[in-house]
Amino acid sequence: MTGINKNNKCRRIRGWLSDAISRHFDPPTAGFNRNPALLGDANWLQKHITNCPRCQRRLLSYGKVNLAISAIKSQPHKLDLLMCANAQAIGVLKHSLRRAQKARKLRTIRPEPKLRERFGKYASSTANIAACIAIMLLMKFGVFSSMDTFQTQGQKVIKQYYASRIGDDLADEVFPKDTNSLSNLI
Amino acid sequence: MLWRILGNEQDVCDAYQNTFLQLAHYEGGQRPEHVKAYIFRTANNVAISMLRRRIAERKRMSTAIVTGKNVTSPAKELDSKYLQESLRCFISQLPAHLRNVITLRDLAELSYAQIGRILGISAATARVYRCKALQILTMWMGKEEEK
Repeated sequence: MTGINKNNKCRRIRGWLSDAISRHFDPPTAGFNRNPALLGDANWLQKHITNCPRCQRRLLSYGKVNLAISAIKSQPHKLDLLMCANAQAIGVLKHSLRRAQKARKLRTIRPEPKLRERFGKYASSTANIAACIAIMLLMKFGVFSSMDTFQTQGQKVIKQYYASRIGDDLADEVFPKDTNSLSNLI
Repeated sequence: MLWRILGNEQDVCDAYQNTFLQLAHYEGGQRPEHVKAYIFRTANNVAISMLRRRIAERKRMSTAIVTGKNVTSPAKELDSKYLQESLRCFISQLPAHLRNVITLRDLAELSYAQIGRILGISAATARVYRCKALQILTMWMGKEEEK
């Protein structure tokens, strides 16, 4: 019975691993942290993985593939690689093409970082500024609407006070229903 | 992408040259319908062929690899070069449809939509292929470690 349970758990974990990896290809633990469905099960998941050599091996292998891909991606190359490749490719062209203006340009071209990479460093500060502006706008609207509410509530209270003291007729005269006329009076 | 597949400057230049030569000789100088897709696919194929040739050559003169296999496993894990080479080797052994997706997605960093356009499949299919490719790579890496 316990064997069956263990297999089911293994299958579920395998499914989650594939899911997390196919979506983000981050280390599996990071995938777990992001997936709210997994958070509730984190305890038994950890317990299971500590006791299940198959899942441990699977996790280790995923980690290795991830590490290898990251290592390949981060492997630096010389800046003039594109230039060299272009020069070599142009070298096999016929003489007239080799001497062309475009060929000359290609021989000296260097890879340019993408726009996203170039402005990527400013992304977080831009997001922070945008968030600040949004908060300020929300605060401003919030403050104005609360001031309006405060004013109307205050008027009601004062009208009630006057109505109880000097009577409804006089109170209506002092505080007419039309707010515009009230503001004119003020 | 070529650099990431091959990891060797001379090979990258050769693969680049071969790719553009193939483009130049495409059906008697005609222009392919999707030039970008054609270049990506050709570059990928050329690079994988070169990688396979390199692996076969290295196997033939296998003294270096034999000494590499004698290294203890924790040392292997730390050796990122060894990891990269084994991953490249496994990628070259993947079936073509899975290999294309993994190289275009992880090495060329294209989006699934772009990969779909290049390979003539849907973005969802590309995603499934990549997932499958990763599973296979994981399995192979695991098996290699057991050895």
